[in-house]
Amino acid sequence: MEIDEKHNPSSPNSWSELPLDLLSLVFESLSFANFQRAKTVCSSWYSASRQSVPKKNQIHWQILFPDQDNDNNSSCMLFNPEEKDKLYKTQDLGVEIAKNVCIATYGSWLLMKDPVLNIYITNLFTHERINLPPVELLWKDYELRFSSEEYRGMNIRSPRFWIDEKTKDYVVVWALRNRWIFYSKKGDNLWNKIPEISDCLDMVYKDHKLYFLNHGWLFNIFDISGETPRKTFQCVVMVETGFQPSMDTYEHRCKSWIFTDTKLVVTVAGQVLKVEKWWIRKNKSWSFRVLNRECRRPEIESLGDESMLLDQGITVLANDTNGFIRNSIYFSASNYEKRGTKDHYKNDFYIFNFKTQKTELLHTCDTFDGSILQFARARWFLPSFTHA
Amino acid sequence: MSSNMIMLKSSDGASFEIEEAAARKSKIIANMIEVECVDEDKAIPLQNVTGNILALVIEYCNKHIVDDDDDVATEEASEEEEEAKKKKVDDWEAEFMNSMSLETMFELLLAANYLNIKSLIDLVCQTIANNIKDKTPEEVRKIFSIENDFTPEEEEEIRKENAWAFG
Repeated sequence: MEIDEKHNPSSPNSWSELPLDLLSLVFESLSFANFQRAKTVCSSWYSASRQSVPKKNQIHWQILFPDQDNDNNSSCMLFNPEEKDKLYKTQDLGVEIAKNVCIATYGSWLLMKDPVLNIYITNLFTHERINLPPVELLWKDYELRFSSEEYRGMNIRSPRFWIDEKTKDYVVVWALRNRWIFYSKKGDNLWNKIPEISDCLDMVYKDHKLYFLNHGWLFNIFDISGETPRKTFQCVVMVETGFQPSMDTYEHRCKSWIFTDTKLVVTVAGQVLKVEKWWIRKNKSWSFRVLNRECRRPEIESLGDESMLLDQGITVLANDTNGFIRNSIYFSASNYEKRGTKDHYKNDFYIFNFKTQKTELLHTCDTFDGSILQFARARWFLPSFTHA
Repeated sequence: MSSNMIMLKSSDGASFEIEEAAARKSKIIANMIEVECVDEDKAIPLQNVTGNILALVIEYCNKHIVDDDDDVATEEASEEEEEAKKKKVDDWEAEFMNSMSLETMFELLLAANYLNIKSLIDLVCQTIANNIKDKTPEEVRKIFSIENDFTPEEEEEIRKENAWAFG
């Protein structure tokens, strides 16, 4: 038989002739950067890579943007916590990357704000760029008292966005000075105001729905897949202020627990959760209270097989292949650290284990080529990789 | 548990006796047993597997059949026990693969594929992936004795897609 001869053990084995299905399995065991390097080894490996799906073992990566004062630097550094002490440098992203600010991420897509406060979407790896309608159009009607650029910059709040990797359909939604909510979809040439809602506390965009909670305890769900936003749900959700403990059961906590934030989180099944972030002074760490949006007691004590990505406002199913730890909350938090005489801003990433109630700091890369990295312009994002 | 023994014969004529339960790790052999193709007195000839590789396959199957039995017996084992047991298997697998040359790994992978032993295929693929990890394409070519058959233009084009990964 011909096949037998080909794999005759006495003939030298050839790794480039390994059956594609097996090579494919090898590729699917590689982390993303390794996958990209390995496909350039030879043509048969390249073919195998084309029929393999890169491992989805993609927990958050950190992106470090070049310093604003540095005119020559137009690439970003990428850090994958799974590959300790290894930093990747992106391709040249254009000099404007140092001047612009990343205000939100979705997969490998960044929502960027330029110095004149226009916003655009760009892909970190493919460099595709989608310009959004000029925000300037809104200043005339909505900017009442503030006119300096500095204030204008603060006007874009709670930005959220979504983009489809294939069709490039997108939705960008943000709050103008937390008062008015605007959104723009693919094909729009201006910003549309969502009527009836204001005073944004937090919002999440998922599966064509906008989940919105305001300081007045009003919670809404809008379907924005059609021509105009359609309100599909409304109710009152009690919001913790931190000053008056709203429930006796945790009054005792309030002495040493400091309330810091309320976030909305939409689960895999579409359930809406209200998540309170508390700082525990004694332990110098965080804790969380997770409630149904109805605030029914008791608090939710387990996320089951899901992991909560607090920054994204969603949960994902955790399993062995995607690298997420079940029943945990992933979140970033900023803090200042004294280094010598200078204060250094750090944006760290933590994993809070619901079962043990312990918070673990995710490894970060502090130095590169011997120099201390600047984290002032760092962000954590969930890389998504298009398979060209 | 059945302790039926099955005979396997390698391409170079070596015979091995293996417990049926262990042999069932191979989908091919399991199917042969199901359709009663297996004659108790006759060895199953495995034309694509040499004796030294078949010995490794059998070592793997024997190790894992014991673990599967344990799973059934201690269904209510505590999480700690489960973890300890998993660690034991992981350690054994690490040791098993650690001493193996790339040539042997190559043949073992083909054998596992031929015999359709899913967990062994995964184990070998993962080990190969570990050998590729964190290396440049040049280093990988050297380790695996692979010839670069791209034209410089082609290579440039493919590298460009993900230039950041080479930083």
